[in-house]
Amino acid sequence: MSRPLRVIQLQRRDAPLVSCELLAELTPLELLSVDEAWHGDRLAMMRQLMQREIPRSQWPQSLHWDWSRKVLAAPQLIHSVYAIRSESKWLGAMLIRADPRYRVRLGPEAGKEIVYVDFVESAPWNWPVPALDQDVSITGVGTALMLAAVEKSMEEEFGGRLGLHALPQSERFYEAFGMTRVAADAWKQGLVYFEMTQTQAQEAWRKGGWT
Amino acid sequence: MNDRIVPDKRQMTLALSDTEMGVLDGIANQKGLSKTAVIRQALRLYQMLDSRMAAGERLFFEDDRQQKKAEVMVL
Repeated sequence: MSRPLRVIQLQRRDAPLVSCELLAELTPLELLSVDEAWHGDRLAMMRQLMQREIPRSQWPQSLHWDWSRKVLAAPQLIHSVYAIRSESKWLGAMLIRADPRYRVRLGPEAGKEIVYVDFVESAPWNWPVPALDQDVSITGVGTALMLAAVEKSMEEEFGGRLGLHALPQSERFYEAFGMTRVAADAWKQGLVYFEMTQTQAQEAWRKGGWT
Repeated sequence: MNDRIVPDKRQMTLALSDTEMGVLDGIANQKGLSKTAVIRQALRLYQMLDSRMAAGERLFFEDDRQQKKAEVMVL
């Protein structure tokens, strides 16, 4: 059974704040229910994109993600799964790892441990998809999940340090979150690696208003 | 509103020899971590290695400069 970590308030477009639960340590069964809840939305979006003959380059880049496969790949202590839920609706999910093989690459903290963010995604019905005239309806889901990753890094005594490889459509989000663009990694399909230092993590924490 | 819910943690007493405690202290000082954080990290690493080796994978140390490669035995 997952563990409630925080009660958070997120902004709904043109409506009052929505109260959400940030959950940690999701079980494989719970993550499967996230996948089930989003699967139909993914297929419906794919159908609309095809019907409107939208070029693949404009499709959301996580449209093909399958959380049930990620569950099977991540049954160990190095992995942690988080999610945000409101009124039994899943708003976002994240898979992170505190893996000794992942270390800081940049600056004076090089070689120190980090929390690596494997996957983070908000619900497909909440994505901004201009080609389908779909906009974000609840803001702050990705930021709340990233702050949970910072918090995990603090709990592990890694000072809030994070690393991740970003999908191109998400690069601006990670820059706005305060991370530093490091380099494109050929071994990771050319995705750009981003890193967050201890100082950047403290700043993101302060901006997010988390205590 | 942003309320943190205090997580459940279980406590245990760990009995180590002076030598083992010295190694644990040394790693904790070198890494700038508490002894609890070192133990938690060691447990994650142990579980990962154990499960991958149980699945038939092997663990090697490789030294490019000396062109040496040795399989690591894990009990």
